[in-house]
Amino acid sequence: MHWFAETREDYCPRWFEAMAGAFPERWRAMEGQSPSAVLLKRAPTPDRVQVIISGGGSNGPFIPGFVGEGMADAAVVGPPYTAPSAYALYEAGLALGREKGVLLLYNNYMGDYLNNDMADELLRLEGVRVEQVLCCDDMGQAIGEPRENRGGRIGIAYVIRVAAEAARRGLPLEEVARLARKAAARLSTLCVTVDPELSHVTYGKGFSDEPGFLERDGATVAGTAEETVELLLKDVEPRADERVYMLVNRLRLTSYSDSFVMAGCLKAAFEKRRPLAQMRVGGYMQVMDVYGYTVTLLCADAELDDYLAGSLAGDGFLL
Amino acid sequence: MNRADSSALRAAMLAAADDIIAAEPELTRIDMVIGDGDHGIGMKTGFTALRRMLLENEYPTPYALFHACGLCLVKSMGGSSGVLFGTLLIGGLEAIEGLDSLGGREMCAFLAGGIDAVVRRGRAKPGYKTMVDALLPAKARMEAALTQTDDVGRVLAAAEAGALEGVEATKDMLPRLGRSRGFRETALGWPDPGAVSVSVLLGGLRRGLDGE
Repeated sequence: MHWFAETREDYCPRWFEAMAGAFPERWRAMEGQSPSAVLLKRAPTPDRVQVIISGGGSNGPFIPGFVGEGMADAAVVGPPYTAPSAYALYEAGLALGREKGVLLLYNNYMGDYLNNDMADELLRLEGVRVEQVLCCDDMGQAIGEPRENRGGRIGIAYVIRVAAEAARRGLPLEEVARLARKAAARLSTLCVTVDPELSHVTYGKGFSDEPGFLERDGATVAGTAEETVELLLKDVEPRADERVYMLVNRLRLTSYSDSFVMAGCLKAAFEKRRPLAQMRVGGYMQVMDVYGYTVTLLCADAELDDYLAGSLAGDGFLL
Repeated sequence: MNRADSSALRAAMLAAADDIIAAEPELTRIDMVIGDGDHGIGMKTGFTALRRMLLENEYPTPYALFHACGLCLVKSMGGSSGVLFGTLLIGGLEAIEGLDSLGGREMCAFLAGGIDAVVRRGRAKPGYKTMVDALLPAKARMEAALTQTDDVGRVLAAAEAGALEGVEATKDMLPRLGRSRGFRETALGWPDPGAVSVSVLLGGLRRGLDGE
């Protein structure tokens, strides 16, 4: 990011303005929130619950690439690796949520929680109805601690889908929030980073370089797929009545083709144990400059399954 | 000063803003040792914006005044300090809805509501060396003062005294939350800068109401 340091002050507003400039039929940027930034759908749908996703400005496509038809109604970001301001969240909520209320959906980090929780209070004072849903899917961190101490990774993609579909069907805010919480509670994501030269695998690295919890030398692709599936299943323990969805997210230095070959191995390893409802592969959240993947499992009962049908096209990915 | 209306409270907030701005070098000096050094500048930024807003506006009620002040801090400060000092001014608004002026009892209910909201939102426990360690003794001293008086100035003086006791106590605490956790050893002997800011804010409010 050194080369872009001169834009650091207003990096995210400039980013969102350019997104709206490049695809004006899809997006619109809200002005005056610098150094935070707000991206909205071009054609708002105010007669239903609004889903607002937020977090530190990063490299995408998550967060703003998930704003669009069938997905979130707005994205609010702070400067790179910094939570958005409560004020920007409040302005987005005021602009969108006066009729049917807003769902504030975000990954569980302290700054994000503080600012969303403050925005929640400010919006309620204005008579806007608010629910918050936090994602805590990162199984590599806060090991041995309660689940609510974990941070969030790209498992939030499924929660966005469920919440957006529930909102699209016109469900009331409490119901949209209940379904989103149900999905968030049945998620687990494992980060698998690889040094391909040395065949060295690290499981569980956090995205601010927090160390992983398990290292393997001389790892093979198939062996790594087996171990990844094993670790995830042990964490999330799917019940008999649940169908399991898998999301394979390639990190930045991983090639397109490698990620599909790895995903094939993960699918094969998984299906030795139980059937897989669906697997998706893409670059959904490319925040780490390393070779590797995050692999997410979502366990969906019949009710949640109903909200996950079909496929969605985001900016540069299919989900 | 038995009760304070919105114009008296506006003067008190202006005095508090002046005191926070004046305390910036001291807050920065402390935070350079035990934190990342940005607390003083952040507070100065927020309260400079607050001062400007107050000079340009009048407020019909205490509720409107404190709501605008809280929003201004959240908007101008950013980071966790903006949220937490905004919470302090907004979390207790319910207690003063519809009132034209505040006596000691209403001031206490308003500040106690804000303090409870900061404790809930900030997830800091007593003894973690945070602003909570100044806020909780301030609340306790205010509530004790109410058995003697309903004078708003005396209740604020009690809050300030409690906060100053809390600041002293934070000198012997080891940080448990946030970035200053990384400065555990050197933090001994120094007060928490957030706690100091609380005492300066309450002191400024008391001074402004007294017309000092």
